[in-house]
Amino acid sequence: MKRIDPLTLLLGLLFGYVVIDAISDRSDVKAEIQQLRYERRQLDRRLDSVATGLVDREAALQLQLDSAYAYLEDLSGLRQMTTAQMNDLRGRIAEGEAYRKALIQTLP
Amino acid sequence: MSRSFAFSLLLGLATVATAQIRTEYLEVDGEPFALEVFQDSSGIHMDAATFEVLLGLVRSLSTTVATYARLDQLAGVQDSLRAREVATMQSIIATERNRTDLYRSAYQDALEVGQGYRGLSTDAEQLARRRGRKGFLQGLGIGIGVAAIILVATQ
Repeated sequence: MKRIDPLTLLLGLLFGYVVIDAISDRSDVKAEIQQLRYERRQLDRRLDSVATGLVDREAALQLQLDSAYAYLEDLSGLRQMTTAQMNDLRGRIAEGEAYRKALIQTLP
Repeated sequence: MSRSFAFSLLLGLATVATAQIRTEYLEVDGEPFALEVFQDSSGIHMDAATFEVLLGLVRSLSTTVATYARLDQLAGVQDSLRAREVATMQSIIATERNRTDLYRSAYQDALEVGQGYRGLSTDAEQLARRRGRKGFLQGLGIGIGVAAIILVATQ
């Protein structure tokens, strides 16, 4: 049996260790990269959900606001119309009063 | 002188004797005026002009009363419209508040996601740096090992 030089054995062992460590490291790194990719996908999904939720909710609120503002405008228009009618009626009342005063003056 | 004539004359004299001018003091729209009527045993009489004035006053007052009723009705409608306007404004304010809350919440979420991305990027950088340093050492080790094998094999 051929005698192995201790230095060669040591180098061989070191080489074997380095190779095994490199292989193990590679699989660890792969797992870590997988984990990072998974986390990134989760973050992408969450960002999408936040953006979609914001857009949807914002659209619903805008619709609600548009409808409320339109209703307010209608109410304001109606109120202005009512005010005009009331002013017209007040004018008629004043006219009636003036007419009656004039009528009284004509009494013999 | 016949009997019937005497009776008529007597009646006429009695009427003249009991007749009187009555004055009523009235007030319309705060305007005082005196209304003179002629009253005798057969009733109250007035001249046509006074009657027309009274009729005109009654008609005008009746129209004014109806106008006041309509005015009251419109005032009620206006109160109701104003109340609805206030309620709608309150609803708008609440919706605007909701929108502000929505933006705030979305901003918080986006901030958290951003922090997540930043953390991820830091992790990836650390991994790459570690991998690079260790990969270099491993490559060196493997190179030395291969060189040693070649040396041993060629001896």
